Amino acid sequence: MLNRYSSLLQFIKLVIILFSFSPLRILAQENDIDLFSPENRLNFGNHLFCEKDYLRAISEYRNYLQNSNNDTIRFKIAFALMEMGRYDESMDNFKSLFFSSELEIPAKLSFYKSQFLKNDFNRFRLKVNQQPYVNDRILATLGKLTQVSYLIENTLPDSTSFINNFQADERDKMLQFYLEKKYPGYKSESTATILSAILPGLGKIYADEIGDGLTSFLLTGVLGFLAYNNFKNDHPTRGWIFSGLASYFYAGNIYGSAAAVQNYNAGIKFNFDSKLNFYLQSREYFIPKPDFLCR
Amino acid sequence: MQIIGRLIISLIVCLVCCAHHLNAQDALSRQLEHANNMFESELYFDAITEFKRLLFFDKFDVYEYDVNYKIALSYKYGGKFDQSIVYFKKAEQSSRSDDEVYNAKVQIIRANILRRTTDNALQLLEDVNNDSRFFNKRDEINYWRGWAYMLSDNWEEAANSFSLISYDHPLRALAVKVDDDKYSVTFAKVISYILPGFGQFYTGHYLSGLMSLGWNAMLGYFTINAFVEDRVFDGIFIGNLLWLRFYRGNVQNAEKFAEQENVRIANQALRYLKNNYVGDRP
Repeated sequence: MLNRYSSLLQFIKLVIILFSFSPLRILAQENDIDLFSPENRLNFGNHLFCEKDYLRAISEYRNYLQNSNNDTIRFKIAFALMEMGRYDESMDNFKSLFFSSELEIPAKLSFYKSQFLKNDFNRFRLKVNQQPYVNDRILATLGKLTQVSYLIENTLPDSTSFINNFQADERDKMLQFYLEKKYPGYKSESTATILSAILPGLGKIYADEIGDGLTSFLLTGVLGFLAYNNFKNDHPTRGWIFSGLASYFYAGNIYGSAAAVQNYNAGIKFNFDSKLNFYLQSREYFIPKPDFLCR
Repeated sequence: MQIIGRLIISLIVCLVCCAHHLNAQDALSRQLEHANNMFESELYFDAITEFKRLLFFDKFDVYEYDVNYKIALSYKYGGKFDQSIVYFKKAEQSSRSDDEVYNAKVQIIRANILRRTTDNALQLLEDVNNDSRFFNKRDEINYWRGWAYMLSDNWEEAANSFSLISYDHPLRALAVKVDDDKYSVTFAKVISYILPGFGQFYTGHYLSGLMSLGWNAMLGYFTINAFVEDRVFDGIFIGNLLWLRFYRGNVQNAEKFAEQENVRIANQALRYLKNNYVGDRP
């Protein structure tokens, strides 16, 4: 009995010793948990970055960088700024990774992407052509973006040099965009104006506004006839009134036809831009996200 | 003896585990206090950051409901209603009791009222109303329904909702008053169809009413006179291009005035609710 009792006591001692050592070590660690330590700031920043809460992520990353140097984090800050539309800041941050960094290539590509997203295409092309940061490894991608910048603006290059910049799986789509841009099916404002001047309403019909065209034709025609009829029947006052009204509608119909063509053309441009933007976003502007970013 | 031994061992294990758990939460409870201070100081951006930090390190999800709720409130006070709803939903998902579910749901409804997605708010109110867990919350549900109607400019329905709480409810009186004060747009249009200019008189715009009446009388006379004198074309075109234009304009004008006056009356009531009303607001 005594033997059993002493072995039980020994067992309890063992348990106490075991639990008193290892958990207390953990306990001490947990007690010291510092939510604001650089490592924890980094983890929290990464979490915010993946949640796309970029502003807060940048703040955490900047705090982290006060204690250590980390190019990946610098890249993430620049990337977050780009995603927030703060392109100038983003470019400045990407520049800091251009030299002596393993992230040189993605940083350079993202730098040019920021420049591209600023919609200042002349400057974008200038920077690509002056080649201060361009090397062979990024030239092909920048070539694509340069061609797309032409596509967005109205200065299309030769179709062969345009299409040669793209890879085989991109060529069909880009050629389709190229042809749509080159032959957009715009209608001419001058033609609409002339047509409306010859026959009221015809310019609107030309601009695909058939109902408005017929209304213009009828109103201007009837008012013109009334003016003519009143003059013919010696009612000059009424004749002048109807002449004035007819002239007003006639001028309005010409102006309206030009405006209708502008609307028609704006619709075509809007559709083209939307399709192109959608395609570019789906292809990530030909610059895939580096693996260390959240996907 | 063996049983006592096992008990002692279990006790030790429990103590050690609990102590471990409690100590791990020390830093988190300090963080909660820090975030709450930010929240109380109305530094909502920083409060959200600190609450999110707490949420991130709260591995046992002890604070999940409270913190999500506070993040949502911070977003709401910052006017970010969409984000606010996202976090109220997270709070609802992590709620531990019916009361917490209800609070989160009501906050979602209130955020919907504020961002003027009234249909969503009403649908959610209907869902809560049909939920047997919240049977005793009917008054509060009707209260927020009333607010949803008030902010969507449906004062009559708002009055009906508040009257379900109490016939003497102060917001019912306000809603009834606004509904009574408002002009009937249909009446303004109909009376203008019958007597041009009278729709403007109805809404208190006497000069505009007189002008409208004058133009319509004159052009009506010219049109009829032209027909009487067998000048059919003149009659048709003066009638169509001038008289009908002014006649139609008179109706549209009366409609516009009635709507403008109604907006003014509603805004006055909403200003009162914003600045002077002491009860709960969305």
